[in-house]
Amino acid sequence: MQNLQEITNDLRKTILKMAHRAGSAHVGCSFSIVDIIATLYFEVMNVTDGEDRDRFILSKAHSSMALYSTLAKRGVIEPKLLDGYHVDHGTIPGHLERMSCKGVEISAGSLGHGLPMGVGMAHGLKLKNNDARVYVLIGDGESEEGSNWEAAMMAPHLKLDNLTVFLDKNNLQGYGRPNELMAYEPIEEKWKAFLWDVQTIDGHNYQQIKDAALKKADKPKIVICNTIKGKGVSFMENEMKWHYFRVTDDYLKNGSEELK
Amino acid sequence: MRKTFANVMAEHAAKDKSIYVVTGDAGFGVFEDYKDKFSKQYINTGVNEQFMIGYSAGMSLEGYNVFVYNIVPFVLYRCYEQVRNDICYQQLPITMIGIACGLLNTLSGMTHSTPEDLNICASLPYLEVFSPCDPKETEAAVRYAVTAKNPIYIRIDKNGEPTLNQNKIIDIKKPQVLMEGSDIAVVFHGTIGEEMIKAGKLIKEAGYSAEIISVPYIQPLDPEPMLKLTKKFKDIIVVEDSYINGGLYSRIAMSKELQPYLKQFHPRAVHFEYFYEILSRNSYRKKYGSDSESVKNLAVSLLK
Repeated sequence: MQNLQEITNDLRKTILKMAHRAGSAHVGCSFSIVDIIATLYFEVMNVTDGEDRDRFILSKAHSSMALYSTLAKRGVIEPKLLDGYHVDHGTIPGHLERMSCKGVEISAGSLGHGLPMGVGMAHGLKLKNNDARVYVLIGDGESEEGSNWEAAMMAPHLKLDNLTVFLDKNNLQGYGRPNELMAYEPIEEKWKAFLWDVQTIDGHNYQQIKDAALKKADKPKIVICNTIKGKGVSFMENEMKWHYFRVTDDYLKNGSEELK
Repeated sequence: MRKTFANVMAEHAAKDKSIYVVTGDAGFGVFEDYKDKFSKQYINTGVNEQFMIGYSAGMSLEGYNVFVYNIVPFVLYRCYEQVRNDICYQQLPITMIGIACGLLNTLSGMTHSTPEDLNICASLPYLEVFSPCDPKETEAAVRYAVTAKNPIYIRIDKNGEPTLNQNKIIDIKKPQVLMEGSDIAVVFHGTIGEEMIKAGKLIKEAGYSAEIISVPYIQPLDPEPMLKLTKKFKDIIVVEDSYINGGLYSRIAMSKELQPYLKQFHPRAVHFEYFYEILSRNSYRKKYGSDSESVKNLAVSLLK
């Protein structure tokens, strides 16, 4: 098997091609989570078709390219399915629709929906005595949604030690930075106050991601991942415009060369 | 109607461990017995409607047969996007029970009045909608929901409603004739049933015969029974505690099969406005011409 560095490099190249072909946005926010998703799918999760599979929920579903490309790389879906991403008469939409793509656990797109559903799934698994785990990936801009905090208050009450949230803290949202728009920080303290097990890591360090995911805790866990929007391509890194910019021929050429 | 729901849930929960009741801090006096007996098949999530619906979707995805119970604004309005995306878009077989529907709570203010719930339902594909008029129809609707594969919304009153439907209910998705008649038809749904039985009696006292018909299955509306009514009756009065542009009449008006006969239908519904007057349900019905006396007067004027 390839190592994670090679895998994530390939994933970023695939995402560039997908966005170029589709003329779609959200490249930067896909790049910030590629390392987290790839580590989970290649090093942590039980990836099967069965009831014992671990569940992964991409709540910040505008970053769907990161999930689609990982599912293809991991062998869950046929790579050819990616050709129909976000195109006329295509196969998979820009945001997630669970019936369109194997391995997509929930339909999502509007922010703040994934964690409440993840809590429901984690509780359902507990009640069924199913040992599978639920992983939910949310964004830092998304953390402004009140529904997340409703779920955050309930998960420890239900003793959901089978639930892990990864927070993609790339410090850029659609039109600003979280802490400039509201009193976002101290985000760690907020989750601690909600009685979660809190870890903060480098969201591009595979070993830290794996260790955080595998850490045992007797309550729901959140892993705050310091990430870089656009990570991997220098002209995209930490640039808000790469929430929206389309991948032109030049961007594709230059970005792909950096990822060689 | 609330207790009817809880009783049917208890009956099914005893033999089916997938039955799961979710409430968002509602159900005082309704779920005490149920939650004692089936504590693992019940949760009160608290006051958090977005979470309540999202959580229910998650449970449904894990195979639970979820019934969400709350007053209408908290099962459809505050959490509309969760109902749309998490339940209906995902085509999950979750049943939402909305209590205190229509004009029941007008004295509590507009926030707790819900003349627009059917307008909202009209925007939700795959959602099946029931508006039963009494405990018997409620029971039939809930039993249907237990085995249904679609998202379902059942709007009910509160408690203490009399049984109006004396028939054996064979198919709750069909209109239910509560009083047979030959001169004119009065079709209605849900909470206004008792008032329409009164209207039927008043029409009889006036020398005419009205057929009083409950339509407990509102969405998707089957046009066939209505078409039959247009053949049998020259005039059909449509009465409801819902906005005129979102309820039963609007569904009739939107039906291409029924549009040629629209002149035969005479709506008496809630005007498209917010309530600022402090009035009871019956007073609002008088204002909108949907009380028994007004419906009788309309029927007599049409028959003269």
